[in-house]
Amino acid sequence: MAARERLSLLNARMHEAGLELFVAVSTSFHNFLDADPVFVLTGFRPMGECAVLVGLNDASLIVTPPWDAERARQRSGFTRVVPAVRLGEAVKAVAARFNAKPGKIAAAGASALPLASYREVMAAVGGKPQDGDDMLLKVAGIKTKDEIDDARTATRIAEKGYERLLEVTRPGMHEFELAAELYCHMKSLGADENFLLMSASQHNRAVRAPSRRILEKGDIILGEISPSYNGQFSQICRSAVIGPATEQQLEKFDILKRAMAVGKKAGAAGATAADAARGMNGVIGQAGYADYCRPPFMRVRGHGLGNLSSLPGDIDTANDTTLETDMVFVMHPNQYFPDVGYLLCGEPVRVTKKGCEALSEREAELDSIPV
Amino acid sequence: MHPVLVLGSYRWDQEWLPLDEFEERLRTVRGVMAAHGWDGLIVHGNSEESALLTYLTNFYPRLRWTLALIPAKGDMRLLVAGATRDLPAAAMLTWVKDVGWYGNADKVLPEWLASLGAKPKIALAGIGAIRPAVHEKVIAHCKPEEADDALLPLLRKKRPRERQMLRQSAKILTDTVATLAKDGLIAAERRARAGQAQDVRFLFSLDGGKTLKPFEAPSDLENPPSAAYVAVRYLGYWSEAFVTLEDTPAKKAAAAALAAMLDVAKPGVTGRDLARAAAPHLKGHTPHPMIGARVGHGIGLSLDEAPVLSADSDATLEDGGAYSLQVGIAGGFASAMVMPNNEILWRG
Repeated sequence: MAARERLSLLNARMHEAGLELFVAVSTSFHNFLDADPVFVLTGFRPMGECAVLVGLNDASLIVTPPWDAERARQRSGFTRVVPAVRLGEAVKAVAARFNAKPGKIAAAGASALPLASYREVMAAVGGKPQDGDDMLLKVAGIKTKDEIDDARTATRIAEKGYERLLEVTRPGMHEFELAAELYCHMKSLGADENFLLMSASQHNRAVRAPSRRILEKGDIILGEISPSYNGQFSQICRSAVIGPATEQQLEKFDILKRAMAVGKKAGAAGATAADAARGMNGVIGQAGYADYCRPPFMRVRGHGLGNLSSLPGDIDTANDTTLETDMVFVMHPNQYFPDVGYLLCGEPVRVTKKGCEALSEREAELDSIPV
Repeated sequence: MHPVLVLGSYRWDQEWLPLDEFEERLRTVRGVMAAHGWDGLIVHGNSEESALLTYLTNFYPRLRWTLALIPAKGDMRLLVAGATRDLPAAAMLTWVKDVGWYGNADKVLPEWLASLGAKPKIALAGIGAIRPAVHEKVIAHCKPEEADDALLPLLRKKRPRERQMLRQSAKILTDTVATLAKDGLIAAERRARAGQAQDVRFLFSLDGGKTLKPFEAPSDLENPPSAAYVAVRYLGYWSEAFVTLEDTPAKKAAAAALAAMLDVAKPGVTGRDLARAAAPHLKGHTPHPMIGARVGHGIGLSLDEAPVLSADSDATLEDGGAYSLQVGIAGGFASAMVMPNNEILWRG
């Protein structure tokens, strides 16, 4: 299983770094953009604060609430699962068994804990451990074959979700009703989570969470459709007009499609995230919108996906992270245009030597929903 | 399981919660500030826990965190973390007019503190879920007193409009549980979300109620659950239920124990009293590990508000409080949501 492979990789990195104990902590508040260290190393998605303590020859999984320990045992395959009421107390007791020397301990994920738990866990491992966040991200940064398969499945679920949107949308629906339908449809297909931003307007300023707004003819529906399968997230970014799209809307969307094509080519293994972002910005800038290639008119040109490693991070001109074969992230030249508003266009991609391969079967078009 | 994004219906609903409601809440909080001599109050909330922030502002951070800066006199400000493009949508969720970006906190906080006069006395609330980096950001500019103990008790006694929100929340819960029993998990979730639930969470049992788990794979949908935990949120307000969906002797025992608890539930009764009332009906049954000695807790803008009511606690039901009462034994759950005057919002 992928988590076992990641655990072995972490052990190798610990040896290289001279570490004797690695403490990976989860708050259980899963984040679409950040890794969940416990999930990375165990394949178990916690419901409460949890930690994995990894020594050079052994690992223990601490689980709160204690009644969730059996699920943790089944999902992780760990033999040492410690049910606990308070994370800090359990970390202290389990860490003592590893007998690691001060200065030979690293921790990942602890900064996401609530303050009181953070202080308890830090005290339990002797004060200030080394920052292990980068080490953990790199362990999971390159996807295994199984994870890429999961990303493809998640992408297919997202595409079926979007097909559902095109099928059921009608003027008069509330945004939240449409979102409910998509969310539940994707869940029935196996999405164990979904970072679903979906909203509509005659002139969108950005995509946001669904509201009580009633859909109307002429609205552009924006969807960042982001299901997870086996804990592996994917994301497609789609735009659909209720009724026919205008020439102007199609023209602007074409800029984003061209930017996406350039971004995929620029995002070959060995290039940086910044190279891909500059490629996309170049196309949008040449079309006359260079002044709009910055917040609040866009955020970033893509990003890594949470739960597992969030590498390569934001696809942004300031990010010099090198893209490596089999990294998976979402690339999206999503952009506000002063005349037609915000448009979404993006695909989950896998890095190859020749560029980025889209995992989606059908790449984004500006779709029209008949009324 | 906490979702990566709370994507249900949420807004500032001025029909249910008009401006005067928040003005009254703010006045009450300012009364506490005055009593403690605080010139300014910083209230933190994040996507995991925002009860006090939401109580004062109606704002709920769907992602990351938000700080409310409340002077003893004058206008409140919000600093919302996230992308600047999201600020217009954030402003629609609150009555507070000054909605700014947390990214400017190092500029805004010193300006705000300076506006409070020389050496202002500051308090910080909503600390339960605050992350270390956000706490460091605040204490880099001031040395606040901790205010949760003084302010969180205000949330326990539900205001009339809050009671109405809880009733609405419990209505969605009732529909959701009924749909779960009849048509399964996906249909129940669709019902809740289409019914304007802001959030809905399920744990369910596929092993006769022994363990409860979140949805993880399509295989979880192949068989109907035998028991479930359901939580629903409406405009900030939670309701919850533990239910057994099959008829079992344990379910009957749990229901009888719950009925006995409801018979004695009134202001002044302790968790110990409630457990004592339930005990004769639970002889021979093993407590469910998910509930243990607990018999309930407060509920409202947090799913798990104080007080915790348990067999070994003297915490009491209070006049004006809203409570989730629960019985859990091996193979059987029963639960209820109650408010003052024995108003039962949900029972099952």
